[in-house]
Parts: sequence; C-alpha cells; structure tokens
Amino acid sequence: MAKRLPPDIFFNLIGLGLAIYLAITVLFTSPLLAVAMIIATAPFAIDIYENAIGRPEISRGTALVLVVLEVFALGFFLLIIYNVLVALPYSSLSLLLILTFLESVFAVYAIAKDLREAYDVLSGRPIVLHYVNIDREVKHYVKEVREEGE
Amino acid sequence: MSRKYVRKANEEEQKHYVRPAEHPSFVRSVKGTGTSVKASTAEALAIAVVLGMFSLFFLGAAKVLMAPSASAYQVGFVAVPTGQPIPYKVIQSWAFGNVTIAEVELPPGPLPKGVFVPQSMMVYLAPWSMGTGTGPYATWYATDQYLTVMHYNPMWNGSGVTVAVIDTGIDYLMPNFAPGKHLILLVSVLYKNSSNGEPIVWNLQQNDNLTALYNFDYKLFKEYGHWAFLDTAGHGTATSSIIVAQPGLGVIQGLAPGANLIMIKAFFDNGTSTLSYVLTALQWVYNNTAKYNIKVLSLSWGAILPPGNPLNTAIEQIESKGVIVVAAAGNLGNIPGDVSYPAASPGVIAVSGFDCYTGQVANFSSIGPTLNLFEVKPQFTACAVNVPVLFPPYIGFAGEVRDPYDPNVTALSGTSFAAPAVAAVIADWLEYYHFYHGVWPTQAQLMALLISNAQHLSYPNDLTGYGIPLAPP
Repeated sequence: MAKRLPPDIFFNLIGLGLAIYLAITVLFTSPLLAVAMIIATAPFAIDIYENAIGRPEISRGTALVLVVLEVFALGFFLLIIYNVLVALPYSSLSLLLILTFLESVFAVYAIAKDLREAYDVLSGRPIVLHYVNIDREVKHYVKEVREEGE
Repeated sequence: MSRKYVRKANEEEQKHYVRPAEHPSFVRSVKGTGTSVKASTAEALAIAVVLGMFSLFFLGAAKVLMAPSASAYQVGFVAVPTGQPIPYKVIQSWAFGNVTIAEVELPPGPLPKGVFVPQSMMVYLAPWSMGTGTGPYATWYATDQYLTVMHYNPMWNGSGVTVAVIDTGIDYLMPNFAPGKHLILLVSVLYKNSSNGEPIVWNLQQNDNLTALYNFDYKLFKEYGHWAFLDTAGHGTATSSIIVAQPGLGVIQGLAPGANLIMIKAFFDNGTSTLSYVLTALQWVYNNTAKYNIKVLSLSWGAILPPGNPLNTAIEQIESKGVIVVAAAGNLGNIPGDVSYPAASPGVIAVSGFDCYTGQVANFSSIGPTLNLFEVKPQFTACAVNVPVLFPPYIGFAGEVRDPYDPNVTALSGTSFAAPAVAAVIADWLEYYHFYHGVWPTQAQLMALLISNAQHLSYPNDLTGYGIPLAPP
C-alpha cells in the first residue's frame, strides 16, 4: 500500500514550492520580496531534510548565519502580515498579495521553529540529532516488533 | 518536524530503528516492518524535484544577476566627492554640489567595487493604463474627485510656491495652465544649449508669445525629430493639470492653482527615458533650486533599481537643499516591496494609488515595504483610478474615453496621477505654514503637518501609508 506523505513534509513542500514560485514571479518587480523568499526556502528545505534524513549537526557559526538571515526574513514577513491585516478593509487583495500573505504565515512558523533550534545550538544545549518519528503507522510497527522480540 | 509526533527514541526503539545511512531508502523505516519501497521512492522523487527546481532557479537567478559583466565592456555609474579623479573613462558627469555622479565606461572583467551597473538604462513613466473608463460614463468619472476627497480649500492654493515636474512636457497651448503667470518655465533636457551645454529653457514670464514658442518648438521637431517642450505623449499635461489647472476654464481644476509650475521635459513620446536624461533633469533642478525658489519636485515615473543607484544619490542631494520630493510608488501591482526608485529613496514622499470610487487600494499600485523596513512606504495614498485630467486634444490612444463636453478632458489611471495630487496639497501646506510662521517648514515639520491632518484609513502601513493627505483647513 502506498504510504502518504507525512504531514510535516507535505506542509514544508507547499511552503517551499510557494516560496520558489513567488521568488520567480516577483524577481524583476520586487527584488526585495524575491530575496526574502529565497531566504525563506531555507527553513522549509531544512525541515524537509530533517524529516527525511535526520537533524544535521551544525556548528555555532552556521547557526549564527542562519539566525541573521532568518531574522531579516522574519521581520519582513511579520511586516507583510501586519500590513495586510491592518489594511484589510482597503486592500484589493490581489492573488499575489494573498499568496504572499499565506506564504508569510507559513514562513513565520517555520522560521520561528528554526530560530528555536538555532538558539539551542548557540546556547550550547545538547542537541538530539536523531529522532524516531512515531506516527500511527510506525508506532503500530514498533509495537509489533517488540512483541516479536519478546 | 512537529513536536507532536517527535520524541527521542528510547533504547528499545533504537534497536529497531534503521538510520538513514544504513538503509537504501532514506525515509524513516523500522526494521522488519516492510515499509513500501515504492512509497519511499515517491517521496524521494518529490523532494528531489522541488530541490532541483530550487537549484535551477538559483542558478538562473545568479546568471541573470551577473549578466552585465558578460559584455566586452559595460557602462556603469560612480558617485565620488567632487574634485576627486575618476579612474575610468568618463562618458558624462553630473555635479550635485559636493558629489559628482559619472557615467563611465568600465574595462572588461569583474565589476569594480563601488560601481553601479544598471540592468537597464531605461526609466519608465508610471501610467497603469490610459483611459480605462469602462461601463456607463457617469459611473467612472467625477470631475471634482480629488478636490472633494482631499478637502480642497480655495483659500490655500499654493501661492508663492514653485513646483517642478519632470515628465513628458506640457501642452502649453492650453490656457488652463496660465502660461506666463503660473506655468512659468519650460525646460528640455532632450536638447542642449550649444553655448553652455545646459538644457534649453523657455522662460514664459519673460516671453509669453506662444506662437513664437510653438514655431521654435516646431522647428526643432522638423530638424531633429523631437518636440523640445510640447507634450506629445499626454502624460506631463495630465500630471500638471492635477497641480495647477486654473479654475473657471472647464471642469478640471488643480489642487494648487496658485502655485508656479516648471515643466522639465525628460521623456520621449513612448513614455521612456534613460538614467542619463533623468540625471540631467535632476541636476538642472539642483542647480536652479534657489534661482526659481523650487520647493516641491513631483516625479511620476520610476525604475526598479538596487539601492545605491545614482537616482538615489541625486535625490538625496536635491533634498539637502530643502526641496520636498514626491514620487509615484509605481504600477507593478500589490506585491510587497515593489516600490520603484526614486519613490523608494529614503526621504522621498512615495504615493500609492487609491480607488476613490470603491475606497480600496488600486490593484495596480505598488506597495511597500522597502529595504528600510522601519520606514512607512508609501507614506500616503491618493486617487489613482479614472482620475479626470487635462489631456492634449491632438493625441489619441486606444480605449480613450473623452468628456463629450470638453475634448481636452479624459480620465486616466495610475499612481502617476496620485503623486501630483499629493505634491499640490504639499504646496498648499507650504503656503499655509509660510503665512502663519513667516518661514518655510523643514521636511520633518511638513511631514508632521501632513500626517496629523491626513485622513487615516488605518494604522500606518505599507499599502496606504498614513492615509490620504488633506489640504489645509
């Protein structure tokens, strides 16, 4: 039976795809947004990598670079969310504006999560590099394996 | 990875966990569970495709961004302190006080540091569309649109204030501009004075013989192919009419009919110009600010440029002389961060487009933020959809809808027509402030006045800025 994409990978793929689409679309009209979108692809790509392969071990320097870039993007996306929300009654809400708004919400979530992890790295907390994903299906298998083992 | 589904594997589970490196399929799996290879491959393919797209995009973008260095030699701009030697072959230079901007020819090879190389030398006017009147005539056309929306008070009409406009010229044959009285000067950077190399000038206060002016202009057109002063595109006439069109001469009236207008022609009939022409026009404004008492500069054009471009430098120098610069945000759509230069320059009052019929931001209007995330940009918004304007009767364009009672009147859309409305309101406020205080306000004082008297649509934001600036009470 074909397995479904795990929700986390699915969410991150949408975020990544939308970021790439918007970056290409606005490259010549809003280089600023294009750059922010390119930066926003990082947290989505990192999350996909973590989900699929495992958490990579990164140095403090890399974490710091990620934090600087992502804080810039976070500020930009928060500003977009603020602008759209406060000007909602007056904004004509074109498709691109709606997509940018949605992507901003996704990106803020992904970036905030990454910043939390980067904080762990920078503060020297022990980082667990490998996890086992316990979703319903795998949990079931784990149970079965234990029973076999016992 | 969501915390909900994640926890550290305990020892028992780790026995059964196959780490990615040990397993041919990199998707998580448990020993002996028979995880479908087909499903893992599908996931791997999906991720590979997305990452591949990203790589392709990144490579493509890098190629585009690096395109200028591909040519054998390239043209760039440098800004240096005046008097300092420029280490490149200079094509043309513009002095703005203690800063000199030079257009230079660069040697082949990698780009030297501090040189600005534009992707395109072109600068574009900002009309979204010409004559977008749709539906019944009465529903899209209100001649008193911006006068009502901006609470125009005839008591303050910009008297004693000079507004300069850099655009496509003006139809000086229209009496609505009061040539010689309010339309005081015509400048053209398309032609140079052979004696001093400066742009040619026609001072209407000294010579208001319009027949002589027209004949002079026509002679240049016949000889060189371009009218020096006459507007043969219509854009400059339209933007000027929002500022200075005189009352009582038809349905169109400007918001600052008492102001003096200087029209600097720097654009061709097709609505384009080059950075060189525009810099020449800005240099003329810089050099003549004191001579003609220029207080406001209205710019209804722009280009998408990186920061550090020569327009930015020139505008900063003009602002340092106390000139209030107002610019159209652009018509690239409601895409965050697409405000064009010079509107995106710090200190420039950028104006977004508002549909005064529906009460919403015009869907074509560029919006902020800019690179300076803490600056509200655009600062203001004004009517930009089907704005009634004067338009030369000798120009036609596809889809135009003229006023059946006045062939000089049409309705146009674009942030081009929002910027002059704000420039005119600023002229009114300058007159107001000067009347009560005897001095001209600084830019900060003026902004405080404009913001405190604006019609606030919501909290300050990068779509409508501080709202619609209202004229003095």
